[in-house]
Amino acid sequence: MFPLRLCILGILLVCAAGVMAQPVYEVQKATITFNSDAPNELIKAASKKLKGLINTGKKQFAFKVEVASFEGFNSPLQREHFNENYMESFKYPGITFSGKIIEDVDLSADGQYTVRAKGELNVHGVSRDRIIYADVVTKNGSMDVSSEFRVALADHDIKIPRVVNDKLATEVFITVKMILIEQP
Amino acid sequence: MRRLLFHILATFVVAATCNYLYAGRPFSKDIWLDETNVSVKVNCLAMDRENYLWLGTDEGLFSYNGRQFRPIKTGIDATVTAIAVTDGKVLAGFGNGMLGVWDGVVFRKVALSGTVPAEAISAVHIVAGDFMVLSTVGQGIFLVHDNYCTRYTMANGLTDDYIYTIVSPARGLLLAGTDQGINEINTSGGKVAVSHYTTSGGLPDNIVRVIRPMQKKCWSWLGTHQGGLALYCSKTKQTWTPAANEPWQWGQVNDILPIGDDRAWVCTQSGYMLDVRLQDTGGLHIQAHHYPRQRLYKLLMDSTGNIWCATNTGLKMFAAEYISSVQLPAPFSLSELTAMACDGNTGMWFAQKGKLYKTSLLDENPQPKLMYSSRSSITHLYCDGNDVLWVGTFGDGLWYSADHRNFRKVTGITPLDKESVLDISGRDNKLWVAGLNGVEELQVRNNNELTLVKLHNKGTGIGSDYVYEIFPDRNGNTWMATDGAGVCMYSNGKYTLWDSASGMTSNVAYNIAGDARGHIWASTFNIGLLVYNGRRWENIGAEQGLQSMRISAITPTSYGTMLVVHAKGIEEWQPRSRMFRHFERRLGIGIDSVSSTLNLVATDTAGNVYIPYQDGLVCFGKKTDYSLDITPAVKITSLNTFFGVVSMERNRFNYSENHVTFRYDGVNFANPDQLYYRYKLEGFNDEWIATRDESVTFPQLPSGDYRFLVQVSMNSRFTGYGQAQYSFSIARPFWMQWWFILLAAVFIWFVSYMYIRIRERNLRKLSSLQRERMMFEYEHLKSQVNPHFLFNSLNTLTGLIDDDKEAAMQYTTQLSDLYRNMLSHKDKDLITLAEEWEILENYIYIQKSRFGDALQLQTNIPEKLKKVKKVVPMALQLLLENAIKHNIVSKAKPLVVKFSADEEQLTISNNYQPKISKEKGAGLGLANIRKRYGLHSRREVSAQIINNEFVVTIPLI
Repeated sequence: MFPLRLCILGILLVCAAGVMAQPVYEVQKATITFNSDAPNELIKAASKKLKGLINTGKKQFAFKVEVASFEGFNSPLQREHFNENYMESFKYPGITFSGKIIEDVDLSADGQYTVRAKGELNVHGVSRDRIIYADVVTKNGSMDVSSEFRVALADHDIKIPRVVNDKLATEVFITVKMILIEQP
Repeated sequence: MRRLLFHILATFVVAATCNYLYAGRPFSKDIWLDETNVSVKVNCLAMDRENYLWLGTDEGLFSYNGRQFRPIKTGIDATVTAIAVTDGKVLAGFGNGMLGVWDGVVFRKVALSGTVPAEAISAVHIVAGDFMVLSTVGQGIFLVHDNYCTRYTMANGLTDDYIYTIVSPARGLLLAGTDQGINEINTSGGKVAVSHYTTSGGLPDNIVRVIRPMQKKCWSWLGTHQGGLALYCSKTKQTWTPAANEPWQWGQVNDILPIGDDRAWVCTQSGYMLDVRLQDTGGLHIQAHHYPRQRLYKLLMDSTGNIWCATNTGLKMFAAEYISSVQLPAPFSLSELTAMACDGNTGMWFAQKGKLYKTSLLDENPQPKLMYSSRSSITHLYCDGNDVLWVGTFGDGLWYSADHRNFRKVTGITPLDKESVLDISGRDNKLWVAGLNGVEELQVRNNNELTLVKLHNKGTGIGSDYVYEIFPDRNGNTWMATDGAGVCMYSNGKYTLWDSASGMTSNVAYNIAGDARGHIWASTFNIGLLVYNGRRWENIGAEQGLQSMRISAITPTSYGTMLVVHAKGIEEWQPRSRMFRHFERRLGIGIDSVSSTLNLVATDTAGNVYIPYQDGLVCFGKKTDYSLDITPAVKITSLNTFFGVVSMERNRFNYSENHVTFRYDGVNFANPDQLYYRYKLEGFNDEWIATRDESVTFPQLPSGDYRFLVQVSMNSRFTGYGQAQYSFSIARPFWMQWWFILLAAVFIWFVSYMYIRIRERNLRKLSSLQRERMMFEYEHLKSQVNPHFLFNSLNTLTGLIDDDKEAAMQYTTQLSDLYRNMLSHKDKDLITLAEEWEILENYIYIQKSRFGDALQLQTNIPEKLKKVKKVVPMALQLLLENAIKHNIVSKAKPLVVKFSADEEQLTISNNYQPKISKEKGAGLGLANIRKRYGLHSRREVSAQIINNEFVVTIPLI
């Protein structure tokens, strides 16, 4: 299933780049952070290597971030554990979210919007249908998107060893901020 | 004017809220599918014909009988995302788009053809027989005719391919909830026409996750992602979002369970269970109950009134449709309560010894307020039809309050002054006060002044002064529960007593009440309940399932059941099922104990009954128009013979399969751990056999027709029961089949026929042999005693006596030997050639003595043949005799007789020189030999003339 999702993402990227009939916005600058607030430890990490596109005409979107690109853990060992034990990034290198925008709005027009992005969130090789709220501000062909959502580890078959049960929250809090620019 | 307006407003509020006078919280319990309490996400629920609850989970398909979960082997490695039930079959849709069916015994995949789904099936809707509709998450809708799929997507006019649910609100009409509003699909007339309704048409949100049609009206409930609830009418094509008492704040709607046409339970992703009422004014009244950290996915109600909820951790059960809890804060615990009553205006009054409190039932967090303090303990509270609260005390008589603020003592009635009140009851404008001095029957006048109508006590004819409870029935009779005189009824100035003297089984009655049918119920000291139907009292006790005899209160509900409070909990007698439903610790919903104070129950003006328990009040709410049935169901789950599992569709068995084991399973969700079974096998034994086992074996059943019946009940008396049956027959053993009997008869007939025939033939042969032999012997003897032979022999002897004395003696010895041998061998059928030859030698000696050289003999018989071969006795002698008899024997013409033999035969030949005058009886001897040989051998005796020689051959045997 997972490679299929990647393919879809790839095709979307290629198509979006190739077909310019629809207004397509590409991520220019982005920050995605995750926040695990467990009773015994607060873990924070972020990545700036978020890629993605929004096709405002078709109201479709696709985003991807490499798991290994997350930085800023409490220790290098923690980052290693994150990649090897929990996320298994060698096996499931990417986190993807692709789908459609529910609200019937034209995001390419200047304005401020709150939309629901509905799609498949693939984390740790497990896809879940998610509806994620996003705030969008469009101005002069540039789109500021910010979103906050939670990911339950159990939903994506991420097993936490008993010994670190109190150090990792069962739900991690994700924030995304990105700037997209309309493609010429 | 303002006062009037306030009054109208107040009346309106009361009217609008009178259906749900209390802010109760549902009792609930979480059930783990896994014994180790590992979460299993349950996606969907269904209930089949046999009342089994079916669960589609991330870990596969399960069935549940109220006690245990049974995993079903599906052979499909995917989550179960949808379940539908149709005549005895359970259909399951999977996360990978596959479809399977359980037929009661095995689960198999449904082989779909055409364009088949590949994404998760979100709903299976069976339209009729072999026509169903599947909705998928991302691939649109599939119409399935006889397992052939036709796909309908956005290309066919749907607004979205992500379909959450599909239902059929009317014939030929399908309603699909999508990410882009609702799609109404008209399939009538063979064509598929789609129309859609979105936010522009009045929907509160485009993501419509749930659609549930109401039972009678055209309306369907709609549940959305962020916009809460809405309604859609399939007739007028109208969408409507009713205004709610609070703005929507409970998250994404996951399921809606319509109750009647004006109520629904709604569960949400954020863990809310909502009690939603559609008011006559057109608005929604929502009462929310939160279950933090739980996601509530699907709802289903069983026949016993339990609401089952699929959650992210397993299964959740809500008892909200029959009981709920009004929680009271800590100091007002039940053990301290001494009296309670509801007033006419949502107020709940209760007393703790001398202190009287009031709280509002509408308050979600009740905070009781102290209303009055009495010097003596308050023992009973009663609110009459005019909303006057009557307060009974222990030793300080009767008090009352018309305004619920000021309390005044009733004065002027002497017996009441120092009365210790046990019970107060009223009807119309009458009031009865029972206490330790009997009963005061009072008339209530204006301004709540009382006048004594009559005093009832031991002196007037009750039989006891201690009356625990009074029940004035609607026919003007007054029923009294007494200590010492059983039940007493006062009617038209006459007392009727049911005590031990008049045959009543108990002299102590603590409680008395009347039910909806007019029957009178009494609770006793130790034998449970007594019910009077107008003619006689019936005992309902332990045998009917009553768990404890220490009853403290009984009270009827507005929907016809009778509640019994006792030391172990609360029981509800259900007249429809004729069983008790138990509410106690074992149910696991949090009811652990109840008050042991007598008569501590309260009923409000709407008919809700309140009973105190450890955390507050248990409320038995007023029901809407459906009635519950707690009767357990039973299913025969499997059938085994000695050789293994047998299909339930088979009901004819061979005789070798006469070792039959039935397994059955009781299904009940009211009190699943209290099932009693009994069974009987009609045709084998007509007695019911009680058991707690869930299987029974019948070994060595004789052949015949049988009907296996199994019943399940919640009590050992089987006052109500569920039943299952299975008819079957065991064939006769093959040796009792008609064809075998016929075959055996034919065989026996044939064998005896053959036996008789062979025996007959043998007998006939034997008798003819015997006859021949006798004839031969006769002939032979005749020939031997033939005067010629004797003559000739004697003549020869005479000659010899003179010539040779020694030879004469020899001759005489030979002659006697000849006769002896002849006699000794006459009985035998065959003798050896050697024996025969011995006889012949005697004969030859005699004949040689007579004829001298005129008779010449040539013998060529190998010696070894003589011992092994056999001949008919006297045959050779006879043939030699014949030769001598029929031929000329003289010196001139000597008779030469030759004997020769090989392995096969013996030949006797002589030169043929027949005498001219034939002797009488010629040919008899030869014929006799032939006949006798014919009985022993197929080879023939031949006699013929070859080269002037007479040759006779006889076979050697």
